[in-house]
Amino acid sequence: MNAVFPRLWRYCMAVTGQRDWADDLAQATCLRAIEQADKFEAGTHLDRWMFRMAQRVWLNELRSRKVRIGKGVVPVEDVDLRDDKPDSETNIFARDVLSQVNALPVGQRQSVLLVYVEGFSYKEAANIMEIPIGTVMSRLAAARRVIVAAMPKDEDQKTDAGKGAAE
Amino acid sequence: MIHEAHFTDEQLTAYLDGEAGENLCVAIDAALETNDALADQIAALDIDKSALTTLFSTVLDDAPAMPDLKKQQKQATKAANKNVRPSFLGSFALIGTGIAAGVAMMLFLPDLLPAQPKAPGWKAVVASYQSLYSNETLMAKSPSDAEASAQLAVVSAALGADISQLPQVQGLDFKRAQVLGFNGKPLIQLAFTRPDGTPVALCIIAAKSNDAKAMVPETIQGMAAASWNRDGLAYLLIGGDQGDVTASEAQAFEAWAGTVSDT
Repeated sequence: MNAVFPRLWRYCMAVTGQRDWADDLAQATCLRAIEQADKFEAGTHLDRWMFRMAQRVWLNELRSRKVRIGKGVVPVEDVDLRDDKPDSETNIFARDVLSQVNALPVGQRQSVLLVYVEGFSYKEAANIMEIPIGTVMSRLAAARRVIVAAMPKDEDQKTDAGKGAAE
Repeated sequence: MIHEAHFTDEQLTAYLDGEAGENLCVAIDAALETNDALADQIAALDIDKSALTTLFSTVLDDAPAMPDLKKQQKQATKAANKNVRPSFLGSFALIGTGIAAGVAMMLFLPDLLPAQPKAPGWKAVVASYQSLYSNETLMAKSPSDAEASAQLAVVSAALGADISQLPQVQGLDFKRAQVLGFNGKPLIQLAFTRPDGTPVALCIIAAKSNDAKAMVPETIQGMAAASWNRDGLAYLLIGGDQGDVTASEAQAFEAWAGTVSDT
């Protein structure tokens, strides 16, 4: 669980949009995971199990406390981006992109994190968020347009154009 | 008349993500041979996923330490015994406490034992200290140029970096420089006030590495702040509640930080 925790916390950031809530949610998810350890199927993926659990815990919490999270906008300062590159242009670019992603509606933000950052398939992401695959696709399509606008075009950068399944 | 195929953003997204079915991929590939508008549509959805992955890997650095769950469970159990309305965290822990949880703890405990609550970082400690400052705290401080130079020489020596050539940042009036300490390391506090008396502090401490970190505005304990790293030093400007003003001041100090050299 220690190994999964940083990624779980990052997902909780995407889900809650706030650092302090992410801290609490990640911790609560770990507690829930401990309590339900007997339901974890050996040989399956702990990360996906815990991500899905975080999702459920958060939705329950929202229902019970009626927490309003608005559009889930997270200023980049809440994410406290670290960048070890001295190139200020790179830093500005990174901050802008991260801010744009964090400013996405929560569902899109989650989907981007799960599919593009965590590398889960649409099906896996849909299972974690407990939504249809089509919804994942819609969220990603909408998110892509925003991210494209935030990312400067650079000929040296490798983009995914033409990397369809046919290749 | 040639009828060009139309694809939705969702279909093209699936195509770009390698999630489209074979038939769709073939159709899109074929259409791309002749349909320039389709190429534009794809370009409008085309992102650098590896850059995104790299970017978000930096967020992992900010993850807190694994919490001490054993302690949290005890607290939750106490709350349950007292029939107290559990907190956000406790509300989850109350579910299924008992034998099952005990068994579960035994399963996971070896993995959890090394975890300890994370000690507050230097920025949090500085913020706590700064929160004690009122508009009156520095009112009587008005060092002469000679006094200011002497103070800056002292803190430069303690820090091991020459910060004596402090810039005149618009709207900030220098009040005091002093050496504090954090975890055995000198922590320099340069105190300023704004025209309305708002106390602002620029704090500097040796960083854990020489890696640079660009200025990031943030809010700490309700105060506007901005932090950055440069040449082995970590900087934090904090005070007031006007984020834009603090960020603007921080930019001036960040530019100056590039000129700071070792003593």
